[in-house]
Amino acid sequence: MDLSQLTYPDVISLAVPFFVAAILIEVTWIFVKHRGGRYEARDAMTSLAMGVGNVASGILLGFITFGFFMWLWEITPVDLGTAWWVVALCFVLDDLRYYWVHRFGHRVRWVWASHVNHHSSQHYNLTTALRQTWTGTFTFMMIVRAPLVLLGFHPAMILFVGGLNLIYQFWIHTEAINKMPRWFEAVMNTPSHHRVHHGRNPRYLDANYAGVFIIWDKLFGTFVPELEEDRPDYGLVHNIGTFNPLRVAFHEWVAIFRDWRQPGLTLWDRLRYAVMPPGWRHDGSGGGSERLKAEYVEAHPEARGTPGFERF
Amino acid sequence: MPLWLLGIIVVVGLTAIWLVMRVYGFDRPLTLTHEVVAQEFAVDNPGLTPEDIHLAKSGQSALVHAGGSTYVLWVMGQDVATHDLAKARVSDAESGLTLRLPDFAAPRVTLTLTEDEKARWKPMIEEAV
Repeated sequence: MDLSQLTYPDVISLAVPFFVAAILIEVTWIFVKHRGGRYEARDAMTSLAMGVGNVASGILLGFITFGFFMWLWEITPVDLGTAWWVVALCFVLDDLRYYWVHRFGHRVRWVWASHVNHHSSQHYNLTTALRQTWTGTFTFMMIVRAPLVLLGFHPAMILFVGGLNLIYQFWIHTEAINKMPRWFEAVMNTPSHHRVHHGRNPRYLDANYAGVFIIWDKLFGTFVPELEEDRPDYGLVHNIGTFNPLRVAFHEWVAIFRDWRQPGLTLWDRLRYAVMPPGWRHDGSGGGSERLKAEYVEAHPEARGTPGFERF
Repeated sequence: MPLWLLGIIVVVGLTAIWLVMRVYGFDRPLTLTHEVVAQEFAVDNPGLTPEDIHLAKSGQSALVHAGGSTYVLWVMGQDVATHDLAKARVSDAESGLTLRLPDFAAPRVTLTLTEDEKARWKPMIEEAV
């Protein structure tokens, strides 16, 4: 089958009016009901500016990723076609891909430098969903999608299901919904599961990386349920002090380059400043999530063995 | 969707969201108390406990002594940010003091202070630097 001209709708662009309407509904709900989350004007506008910048960077740099995928498509001998079940399978496998890219995004500082901006808001509402990276191309995480192309999924299909994945994740960035039905919570990523992911509480660090299906976290041992007695406190372990979108987008990249410029580092140290988890320091003075969890358990022994602290 | 139409939807949509937040009063800043400063500082600096807090009358900033160092805490909308004062540069501002921090993610803070506070805070900050 000649799939060279295969196209799918640009679902992200088509969803923009829905995003705007949903945000207006959520902010009004919170104002009227005095519950269901918090909004702050400058924080929300920063998130929205990050969303606009993400779309712009996609327009400017998207050709790199798509060109890479089309090159892989040229060399792969496999073509799975465009049947509905192929699209569905592609969606599920791409969600597995999302889980791992997202996990790398929290455990490899080079990738975290791109993803950190999504966690830089101290709020958790629908605008937070749109606080997206401008620098994703530079993480080279498109490589993780290469197997899908080589397996015979057309690049246009992969980008289409990736767009659907991101749209799914929009609605889970809310405090207005507490819990979904039990069967849904068991299989799907939900507002409750994703609030955990955005929590900076030691218990919730490095948990719930799922995009659509929470089963990946359960399968790979990173699932932590939201606990009534430990409500998520949103943001970074140490929050940034700016609403400037340029600084939000690039601050961790600047931090990496500043770390590289320290005198007396070996090449190995410099490499590790890029690939080790956020918080790593060459002199051992850093405090990554493991140290934060260990220190918390030391101060709160009753937390030992509870969700999020099973290994401490 | 054509880019021009997407552009119009984005501009109109963002303007509407901003206006609605203004109307609902979601642009009002947090006002600090000693309790809020102590709690927020401890959460933003795991392992540190505030030993001494100087809260500005404006309720928009505080100096915090903890673990042998001095930190500044300031209001960011309805939340706060904190930073140690090591290598900070302090200068007079019309409304109080301006701090320039060696941090791309928190480059500059203007502290709203009374003349009395300004006179007391400036030496404390200079000593911490």
